[in-house]
Amino acid sequence: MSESTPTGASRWRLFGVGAAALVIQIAVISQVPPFSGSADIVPLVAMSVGLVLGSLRGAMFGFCVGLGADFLFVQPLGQYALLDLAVGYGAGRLMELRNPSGTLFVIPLGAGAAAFVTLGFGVLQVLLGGGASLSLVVLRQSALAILWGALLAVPVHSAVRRVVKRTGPSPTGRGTRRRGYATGGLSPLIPGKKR
Amino acid sequence: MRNDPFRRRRAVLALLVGVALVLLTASFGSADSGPLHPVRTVVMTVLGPIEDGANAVFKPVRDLFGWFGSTIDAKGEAKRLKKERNELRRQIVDGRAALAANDRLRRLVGLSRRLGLADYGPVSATVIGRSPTVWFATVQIDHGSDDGVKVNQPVVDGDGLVGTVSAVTPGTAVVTLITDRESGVSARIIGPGDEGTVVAAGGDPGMLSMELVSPRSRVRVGEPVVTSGTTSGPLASLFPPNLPVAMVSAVDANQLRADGTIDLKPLADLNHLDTVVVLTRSAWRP
Repeated sequence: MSESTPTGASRWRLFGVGAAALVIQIAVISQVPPFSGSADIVPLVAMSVGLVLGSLRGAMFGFCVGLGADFLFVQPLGQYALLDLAVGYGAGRLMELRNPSGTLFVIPLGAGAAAFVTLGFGVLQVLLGGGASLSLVVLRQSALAILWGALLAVPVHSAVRRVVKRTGPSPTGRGTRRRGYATGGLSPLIPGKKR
Repeated sequence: MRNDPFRRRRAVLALLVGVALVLLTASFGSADSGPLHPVRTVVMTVLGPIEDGANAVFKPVRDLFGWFGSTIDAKGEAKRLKKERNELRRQIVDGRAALAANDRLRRLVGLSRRLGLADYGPVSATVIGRSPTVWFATVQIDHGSDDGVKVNQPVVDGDGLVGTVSAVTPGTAVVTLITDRESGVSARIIGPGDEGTVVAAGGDPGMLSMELVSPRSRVRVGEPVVTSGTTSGPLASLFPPNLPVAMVSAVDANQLRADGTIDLKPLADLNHLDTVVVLTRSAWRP
């Protein structure tokens, strides 16, 4: 369960991932007709980092990239940061506790992240007295956001995993070693000696 | 604490959530003012050029997506416009047909009023068939004996005489046109007043000739020919008097002197008949 301390290279790598996500969100996703107004890859990236690097680093990454989004999208600071923090943490915890296999599991996870952020914005608006009106258009946009979250989850996760995979160990120590322990297998030293 | 990952994680999480909530509380509802406004301004100033650069760099990507979107939209638009065009074409055709029918009916009504055809029991009918050969100038109409149509009754349209009924069934009738070889109409040239018989012109299926014209007639090209409407004797005409039949199209003085024949052109457009009127009451009343 322990998470290694990020190295300088891995920090830069994560910074690059976050910056790229924000740039792509602003320059492409938010301006291309099919996605604009509904698709949001920032929570998906936070989710992917959480899945790959664990809950703590997922939360930290989510907070930082969310804060960047708050600055760039000119909205109340801390809103995106709080929600993406929760997404990154939640995804990391899920990986640590359940360790789902395959890649398709990120589809419902992406939909869930998008739904959480969409609903979270509404809840925060209400809680902070900003006022939130529920209309058919809002519901449609929310449904579209969830759909896009599900559709974009796999490519976003693949790209993020490819970039940050080497920045630290798997949050669950995935592989034969952990499974050997979990199932009462042999000593972890044995696979290391395998030829 | 340093060695306890759980505590460390909780602490970091609590710190992050706390910072987020503080930021949220501080900045909510005061995007353009408040303590964090200068920070935001600085960040925006720094990130502005980066945003511009990113916009420029990703323009081709946006254009590509835009192209796909435009293509899909254009396809839908083309389909809609094609449907609209077909509908408009159909409306134009219907409109033109209605205008033409209106024109024909107006002329028919005009002729009927001018000549007092209401006394002849007019029955309007639509042409539903035409003889496919040049040897028989006949058309079929959609009214028959059930409507009072009988053989030898005259048929007119808005321009003048068309022919006579040559066969009837309860629901349809066959009209032999005045350009048929079997047809003959006693007629009069309005100008000089010469009379003769209008028959089909030999060798020209669409034209007429007038026979038995006086060799001394002073007939001229363009003069109208109408039915003479003879109303007594064994040769009483089938047709009401003064029905327009044709117009003199050529006068050959030598031919006129030799056999008393002149060339006529039918007034009715016999190739494009649509609505006609059958005069079901006899012109001749003893």
